[in-house]
Amino acid sequence: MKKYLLLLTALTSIGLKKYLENRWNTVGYISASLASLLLYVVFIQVYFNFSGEIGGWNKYQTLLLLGLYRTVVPIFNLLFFKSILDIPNAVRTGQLDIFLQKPVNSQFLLSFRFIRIYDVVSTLSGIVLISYAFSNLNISLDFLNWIALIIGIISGVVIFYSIFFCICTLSLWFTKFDSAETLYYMTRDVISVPTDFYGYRIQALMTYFIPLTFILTVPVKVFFGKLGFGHILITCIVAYICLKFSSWFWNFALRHYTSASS
Amino acid sequence: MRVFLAVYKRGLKATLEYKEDFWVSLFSNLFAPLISLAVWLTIQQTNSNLPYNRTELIWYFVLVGLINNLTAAWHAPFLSEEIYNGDFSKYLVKHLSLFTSIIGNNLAEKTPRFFITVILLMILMYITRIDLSFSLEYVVRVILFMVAIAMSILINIQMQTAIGLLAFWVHDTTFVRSFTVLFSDFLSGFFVPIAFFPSILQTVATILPFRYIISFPAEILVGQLSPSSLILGFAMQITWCLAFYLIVKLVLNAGVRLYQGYGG
Repeated sequence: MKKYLLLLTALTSIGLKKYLENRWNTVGYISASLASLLLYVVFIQVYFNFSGEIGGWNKYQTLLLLGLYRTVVPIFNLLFFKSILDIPNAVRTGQLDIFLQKPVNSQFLLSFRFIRIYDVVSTLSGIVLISYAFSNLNISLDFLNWIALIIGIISGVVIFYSIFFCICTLSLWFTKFDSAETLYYMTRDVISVPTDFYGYRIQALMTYFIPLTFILTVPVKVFFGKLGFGHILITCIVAYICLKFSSWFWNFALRHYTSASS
Repeated sequence: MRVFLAVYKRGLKATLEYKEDFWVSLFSNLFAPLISLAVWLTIQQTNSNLPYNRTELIWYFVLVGLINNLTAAWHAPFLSEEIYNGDFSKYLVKHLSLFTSIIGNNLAEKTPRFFITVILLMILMYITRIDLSFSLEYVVRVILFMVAIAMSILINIQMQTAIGLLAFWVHDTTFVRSFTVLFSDFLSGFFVPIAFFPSILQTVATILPFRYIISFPAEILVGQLSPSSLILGFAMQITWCLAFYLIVKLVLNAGVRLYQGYGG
C-alpha cells in the first residue's frame, strides 16, 4: 500500500510539472471547461423552456445534478482520463510491454499515469453550480442525506472508471481503437442529465445493462428523498462489482494480448 | 491524380483493416443524437407545442447521426503531431501535398461510411414506412441536401486543418479542439435543433460555422426551412468555406516559415 501511495505522489508531481511546463494549454483547458459550464446551463434552460418538469425533475434539481456532474467528471479526468485513454496507444505501439514488466499492478499504473491537476478548477466550478441550485431549491436536508450523497458520488466515480477502463481494455483485441474517445464523450454526456429524462426503456437499459443510472441519478434521487437510503447500498455494491469486473476483464484481455513490439 | 489515388487506396485499406474501430466509431456517431431524441420525446409527452412534431423530431436526429458520419473530420491532432515530431517535412520535400493527403485519407474513411449510411437510411425508410411521394419538391430537397453535405465536408476538413496547423505556434492543440468540440456540440444542432433555441442563440448559431456542418443539411431534408433561410444557409456555407480556405492558406504560409523540422 505504501509503495502505491509513493507512486501516486510521484505521478502527481510529474503531472503538475508537465502542465506547468505547457502553461498555455493548461489555461486553454481551464477556459474551455468554464465555457462548457455556461453552455450546459443554457442547455438545461432550453429543455425547461418547453416543460416545467421533465421525468419528475424540476430545473433546480436538474441543475444540482449538473453541478455534481461538473464535479465528478473533472475528478475522473484529473485521476484517470488521459491515462486510460492512452491504453489503446500503448497497445498499438507495443509500449504496454514496459508496463507489464514493472513490479506493480499494471491496471493501477495504466490508470494513474497522467494526472491532470488543472481539472481541480473545473471541480470548483461544479461546486459553485451546486451552491446556486441548492440555494434556489429551498429545502432542508439531514446531515445523513449529504453523507449518502458523498458515498453515492464516490461509488459513481468508481462505476464510471470501471466502464471506461473496460471500454479501453477492448483495444487489446482491436489494436487500433481511436473511437474510444468518442465512446467516452458519449457516455459522459449521457450522465449529464437525470436518466429519467430518457424515458422508461432507455432508463431500464442504463440500470440493468450498463449501470449509468447509478453514477449520478440514483445518489441525487436518494439525496432528495425520492429513493430510500437502501439505494446507496445498492450503488456501493454495483460499484464494487464493476471494479472487480474491470480487473477481471483486464486480466482476461491480457491472456489474449500479443505484443506489437516484440 | 496518381498520388491522390495512392493515398486514397492506402487510406481505404487502413479503414477496412481496423474493422472494429470503424464499426464502433460509426455506431457511436449514430447513437449519440438518439440520446437527445429520447429527451425531446419525453418533453413532448408534457408539451406538444414543440417546433418539430414527433415524426420530424425522429427524422431530424436520425439524419443528424447519419450526417455526422459523413461530415466528420478528425485529422487535426494527427496533423499537429506531424508538425511536432517533424513528420510534416514530407509535405515539403515529397510529391505529396498536405491537401492531397488530408482529402484522400478523409474520403477513404468516408467511402464505407457513405455506403452503410445509404443502406441504413433505406432500411429506416422501409421500417418507418415513410411516405415517399417523389414530388419535384422532394427531389429538389434531396439534391440541395447533397450539395449541402458536400459543402459541410469541405468546411469541416478546412476547419480541422486550421486547428491542426496551430501546432506551428503551440505544441499541444488539444485545448483548441476541446473548444471546437464544445461549441460544435451546442451550436451545430447535434443535441438540440437550432429552431428550439431562444432567438439570440439562433442568431449566434446562424453566424458561426458549426450549424452548417451538421444541422443545415438535416433541416433541408426535414423540410423546416423557408426559401429565404435556404438561400441564407447556402450563402453562409460558401462564406465559411472561402473564409477557412483563406485562413488555412495564411496559417500554412506563416507556419512553414517558422517550421524547423526537428526530428523529421
